[in-house]
Amino acid sequence: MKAGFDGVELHAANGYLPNQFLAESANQRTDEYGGSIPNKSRFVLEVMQELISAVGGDKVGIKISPFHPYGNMILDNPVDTYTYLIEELNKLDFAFVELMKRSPYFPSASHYPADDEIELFGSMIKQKVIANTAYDKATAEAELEKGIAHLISFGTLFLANPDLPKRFEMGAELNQPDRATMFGGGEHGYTDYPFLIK
Amino acid sequence: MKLLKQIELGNLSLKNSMVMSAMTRSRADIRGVVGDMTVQYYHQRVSAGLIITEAINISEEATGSLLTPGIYTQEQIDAWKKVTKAVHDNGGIIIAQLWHTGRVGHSIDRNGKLPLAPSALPIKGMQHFTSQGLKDYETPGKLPGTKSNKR
Repeated sequence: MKAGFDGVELHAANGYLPNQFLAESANQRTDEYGGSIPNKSRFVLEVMQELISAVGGDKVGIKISPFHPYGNMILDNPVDTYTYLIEELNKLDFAFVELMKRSPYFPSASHYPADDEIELFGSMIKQKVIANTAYDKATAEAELEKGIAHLISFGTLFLANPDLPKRFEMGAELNQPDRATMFGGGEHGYTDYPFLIK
Repeated sequence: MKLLKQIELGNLSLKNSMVMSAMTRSRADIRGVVGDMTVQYYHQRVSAGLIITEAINISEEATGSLLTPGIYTQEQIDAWKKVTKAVHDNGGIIIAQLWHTGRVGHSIDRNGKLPLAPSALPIKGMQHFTSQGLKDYETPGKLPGTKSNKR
């Protein structure tokens, strides 16, 4: 916050540390941070409590990806684990949950349900819900119309279209993201995606 | 269009309901410091209702990949100040995504230190992009049973 940010989001998705605590494929601890669902969830909940007390709940959010297996995330019981986590998060006072859907490029394990994550988990969440992954203008608008998610987050569409809201408003053509320049490199593929009108 | 509707989020008033999600871009320097190019990149995207930064390492220990930014040294913090000022001066709102990669790292790019994770279980079925090309994941060290170091 010293750096002038308006808030923070805990990255508890995509197979990184907080996500690892929730998954049996990364967490076989026998202490109070492993084993039962409450124990596996303890790390995420304690970090959220710390963040809320450090910067104020109205400036805190969390990103979760319940059915996304990236990083070899395999939970014995993903629905019960995330249901518990969300129920406990609901007891905390903070701003939002960014709920990331699985990607078609990363199929879930066979014991995972086929449910839509926004319908299944989004409807349980007390905080504002930001729906994420693979939305375009039409599917994003349809998702908001459903009334579960309040906001939609876009990754590569914003990467390739710095003026994405204006393009949606005008029904304009979209620049396509260039995979080759996504990670590393210089200005090309970073700051040189064109605006509609400068 | 609902996407273009103003919305409140926490204590923030967003000009639309479109969020730029976090995306790793790997354009910091070797010390995890972002430069003028990154200031321009986020500045260009201020029309988003909310910008969520690329994931930012909360400590040296948390770091899994080279050229990803940090927010634990004064130099890194000062560099992010330029980003947040440019975004705010142009009517944008920006929050920091806080990152601890756990086992998603490699000792090649961690001064020889193994990553730390809940248990000593390696990632299977994937490889890590390192400064020496794609490498199999190593078995991480196990984190001690203390409270997290995420502030």
